[in-house]
Order: sequence, then C-alpha cells, then structure tokens
Amino acid sequence: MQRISVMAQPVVITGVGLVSPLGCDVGEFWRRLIAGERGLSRIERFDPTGLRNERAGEVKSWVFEAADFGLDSVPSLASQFALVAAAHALLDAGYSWPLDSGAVRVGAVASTNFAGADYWEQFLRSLAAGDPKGQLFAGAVFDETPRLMRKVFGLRGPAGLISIACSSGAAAIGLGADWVRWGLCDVAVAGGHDCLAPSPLAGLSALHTITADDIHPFSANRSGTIFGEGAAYVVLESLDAALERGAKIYAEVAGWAQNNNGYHMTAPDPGAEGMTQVIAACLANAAISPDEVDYINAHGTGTQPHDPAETLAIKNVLGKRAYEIPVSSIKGAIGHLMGAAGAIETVAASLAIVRGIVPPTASYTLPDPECDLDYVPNVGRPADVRVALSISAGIGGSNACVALRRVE
Amino acid sequence: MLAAPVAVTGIGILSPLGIGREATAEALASGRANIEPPTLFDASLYGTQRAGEVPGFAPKAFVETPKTYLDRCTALTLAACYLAVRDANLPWAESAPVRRSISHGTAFGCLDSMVALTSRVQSSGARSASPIIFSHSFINAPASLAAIEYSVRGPAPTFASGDLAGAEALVYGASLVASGAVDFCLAGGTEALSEPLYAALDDAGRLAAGLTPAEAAVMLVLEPVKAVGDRGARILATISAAALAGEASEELVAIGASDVPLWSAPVDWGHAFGAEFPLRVSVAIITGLERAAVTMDTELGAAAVVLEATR
Repeated sequence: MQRISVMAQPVVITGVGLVSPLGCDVGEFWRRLIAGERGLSRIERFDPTGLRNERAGEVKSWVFEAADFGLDSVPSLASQFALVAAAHALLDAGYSWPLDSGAVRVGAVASTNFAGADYWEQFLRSLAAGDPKGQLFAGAVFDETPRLMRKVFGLRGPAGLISIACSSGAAAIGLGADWVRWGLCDVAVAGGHDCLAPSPLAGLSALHTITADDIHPFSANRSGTIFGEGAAYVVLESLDAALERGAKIYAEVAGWAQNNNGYHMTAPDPGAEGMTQVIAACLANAAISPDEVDYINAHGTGTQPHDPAETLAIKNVLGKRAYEIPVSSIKGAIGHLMGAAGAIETVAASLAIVRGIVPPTASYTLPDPECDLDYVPNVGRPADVRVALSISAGIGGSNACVALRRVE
Repeated sequence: MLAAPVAVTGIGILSPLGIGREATAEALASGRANIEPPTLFDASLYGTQRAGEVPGFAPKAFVETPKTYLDRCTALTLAACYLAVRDANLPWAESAPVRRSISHGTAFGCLDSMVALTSRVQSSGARSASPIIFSHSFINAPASLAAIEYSVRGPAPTFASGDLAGAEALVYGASLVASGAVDFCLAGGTEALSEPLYAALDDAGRLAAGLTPAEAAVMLVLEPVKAVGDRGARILATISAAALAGEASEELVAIGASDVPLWSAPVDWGHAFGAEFPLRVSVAIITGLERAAVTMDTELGAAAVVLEATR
C-alpha cells in the first residue's frame, strides 16, 4: 500500500462552512440532515427537459452580492458557492478577512468537477454566435475560484485546485492538510464546489448515472443517483496553532489517500480493488487500525454497480468490524454534489464526531443481500464516534478517502 | 520541502520546440520554436495569427492500444507518457501497480471535448449528449486514461490551477517519490491549443498585447535516487528542492538556497499555461546545467525547483 504522507504534526479542522440543498447554515444543514429531510426538487434555474430526471439538489433562493466580497463583477455560480462557504469557514474558525496584513500565511486548495459551468454555457453561446466573450471564458475556467479566494480573502499562501471528478472534495481536504504539514502555509482553506448546469447533467444522463426514478442508496431497488450542487470548505491548521489560540476543534485530519483504479473511465473495477486499496492506504497513512473505525460516511451514489462495490471494499479492509459500525450515505438527502461531494461528506463526518450522532441514509427503502451493512436507514442515530472515514469515488476511476479522529 | 532528492530519469516532451528530447535539443541549438499561424482551426477571424503548435503530431504513434476517441489534450498527455517511460527505460514488471503514480497539471484540460459536448446539447437538446465525449471531457481524463494505459493504481491527481497547474503537479509528484510513497511518478502537465481558448484570449486583448499561446505536453519520470542507482539507470538531473509559496519565486529561492542561479529560457516558445513550468524544467535539463533554480510567478502563487547536474 502506498503512503502519501506521514502526518507527524497533527492537522485539525477548526472551521467549516457550506452551501447545500439543505441550507447554507451548518446548524440548519445538520438538523435537517439528522431528521431525514431531503432537499431534492424539480430544477428551476434552467429547463431540465430531456434529462433522465428533472429533479436535483438545487440551492434555492440564492442571493449573492458581489460587493460584499469586494468584487466589481459577479463570478460564476460555483465560485459564488465556494466563496460563501469559505467565508463562513474562516469566520467559524475565528479568522476575519482580509488576511493579508496578518502574520499567518493562509493558502487555499479548491476543487471542482465542472468549474464555472454556467459561464461555460454562456461562453459557448457567444462563440457559436461569432462574438466570443473572453470574460465569460475567464469565469468558466478552473482557476477562477482559487484566484478569487486569494484576492477576496487576502491570502498570502499559495492556492491550488485539484480535480479528480467526484473524489475532488475529499482530496482537496487531504491535500490542504498536507500543505499545512509540509509548511507551504500555516492555515489552509480547503474544500469543493460545483453547480448544476445543462451540459454536465446531460452527459451524466447519457451515462445513465442519473436515475429516472428516485435515489435509494444501498437499497435493492436503487437505479441511479440524483445530482445536486453546493460547496463545503474547511479551515485546516496545526493542532498546536489551534490550541495556542484557543480555537474550536472539530477533528484531526488523521490521514488520507487518493488513487486510481487504472481500469476503466466509467465502470468500477472487478473486486473493488481500487476502493479497497484507497481505504487501506488511508488507514495506513493515519496509522489507524480497522477496529478503531467507528463510522463511515460512504460515497453511496445509489447506482447499481457502485453501492455493492463500495460495500465490498469496506468489508475487504475492515473485515468483521464492517458489520459492527454505522455506514451511511447523505446523497439521498442532498443529492450527489459532484466536486463538492467529498468535502461536504467529510464535513458531515466531522460533525458526527463533534455532535455524537451519525447522519442517516435518507430514502433507504429495501435491503439488498449484496449491500448487507448497517446503513442507518432514514433517521440519524446517537453514536460515540472517535474515528470516522469519508470515502469518495469518481469518473476516471478516481478514489479518495479521508480519516478523521476526535481530538480528546 | 522534499524529504530526499529526487532523480529525473526520463523526459517525454512535445512542444513548439518539437517532439522528443533530441528534436527539442536541436530546436534549442538553432534558437527556433514553431511559432506560426495556427493550423488546428481557422484563425483568420481573429486579430492575431500567432501560436505555438506541436509540429507533426500524430497521436496513433504514441498509444499502446487502439482508441475510439481521444481529445487532443489527452492524446498529447499519452504521447508524453509514452516518450518519458521509454526514455527512462522503466522496469514495469518490477513495480506493483499501486506503487506507480501520475501527477498531472493542466489549466484548461479537454476543451475540444467540452465544446463538442456543450454545442451538441445546446443545439439538439439533453438527449443528444454523447456519453463517450462527456467522459473524455473531464479535466482528469488525461491522467485517468494514462493510468489505464500504464496500469497505474497509485495516486493520480490532476491539478487545474491555471498557470501553476504543472508546477503543483511536479511538486506533488516529487513529494510522493521523496517520501517513499511510490516507486516512481510520471509528473508534468499538458495544454492543448484550441479555438475557444484562442478566441477568449483574443477577445480579452491578450493576443494583441503580445501573448503567444502555445501547446505542450511534458511528463518527467521521477524516481528515488537510490532506486535509480540500484537498477543502474541514467539520471538526467536531480531535483534537490521543490516548493510552492505565496511569495515571489525569487524570494522563495532565496529562502531555501540563496546561492543558486536563476535559470531563464533561451528560446521564446510562447506560453504553455499549465504545462509551462514542466516545460521550463525539461528545457533546463536538456540544455545542460550544473545547478539552477527554475521558477515561475503566477496569480495563485509561486513555484521553484532546484535542479542539479548528475555527476
């Protein structure tokens, strides 16, 4: 198994912020998630005609004031989500921005699947009309978000963007922790963002990843996923720094791993080897034994091939421990948030540690013999979670896993 | 920040300077890069006709198995991997797939496929989307297809951090190797020239201001120095330090190694965006050097690596 890094200096999460179909306030999101509420509804922002499913986890009643962020033009919708989530995370951690006059070097690791997809659609229309608009292209590209984060928040550290499909958000948080550990910055703002847009959804529809029915993770009648939008960002810093300034601590990022199946662009590999290896590598990186794991926030897309493969991978690594712990997917509640999925699911795992309750698998319906773990059906459950994993997988065979540990 | 020096044992390079190390060296000696009016699309609509294309690129020559569809960005990436692996004479069978890795950077990714997908959806509706073109339009598709081509089952991230993308990929890849996490890493970046990029730069006034967009794919084979010695392979150069920072790159170098001379490019090949930094590093190695720092400053921060000649 590969070890990406050995985290000699503990890195902890001291702030979280999110934008989600269940609200943009962490408290509201958690309350509704635990209650088994669902944020899926018919897409209103654009015409969803022709998609396999016209429902999604859309962020409703969204208002963004560019001037609040010192911007004189409106960024792409995905960047708006990212800026709001990151701003909330910084404030939650006790950092007010701009940060450029302080001694702390703050960096950023953003992530996304489709970047400024709304601006890309507009740019293509301008190109087709023979009047291409460079400003729209600049808002559509991947580095728009980290560039804006540096500018808006006055970041003095480096900024980057990692994109490994639906594992992006988890990898960004892992890489952000590495950047702090390696000394590239003192504090990292890390997470993921994405927005719903016609072309990516048409592509996901064409792949039949989207169900024509409803999303039912790990259930026998599952037939595909439903996508959503939003962002989740966390603030990462060393445990020593957090303790010194008396910061609230959600959890330690004990380790992470990322890999590729090296098998197929869209199909899971036989025997779930890739996901098995990434979970095992994450535990090795975190120096955590399988018996120490108390909760897994699974990728759990609700597609036919994925859910049993992920179940198998969990059992491959955890053995009998897999049957003793809760494993849940929050996609039934908020949809699959694409590049933000791994980030918001890592946030959910950190909240499970802090608040002593695990979120449910909403819209779980019928047991499946191939998916035979405890998926916490439909209502959250109190649990003493000391160690939690968040697992992600994505197109291109990209997998990621983050291990969180309670700071006692 | 590297735990140990890292050896560069292979270079796969395709750029306006040519294809492969030898062609690149010849172009550098003649002082000429292939900067001409674009041939990949009709540039007559735009105010400037000047770009750096990879001359004579034929994708089929660089893939192990037939492909039904390849975006130009992916084809260039696979070609760079092909050249790098052969240049390093890597012993594939001796390395477990989970200990092989790819670290790739690109600012814009598979733009041609993104255009094909979106144009079709906009003109013919959601049901007209092609699943193949869609899956190949992802920005991590080049790295993923390279992972499939070369049975890489270790880390395979894609960095899409604008001009800093290739630098972040290179620094991450070097860190993986230096930490002992993997046996080797194919690290670098790719940028493919395409009309939407050219059109956007033209509209933004950047072409008129003198920017020459260039395409390039550069992948370096990085290995632990000791492992290279054990297998009796040749080292092209050693990366003794690598870092990212928010500061200007000269400050970054000064902090780590103030006596290292800063390297500068001997030929104007245009600007290769996310592939620019690995291209600079490769050209620095190909031109021959004793010790030099290759640096780059961008809106997202700065990058620097210190290269040492093999003794």
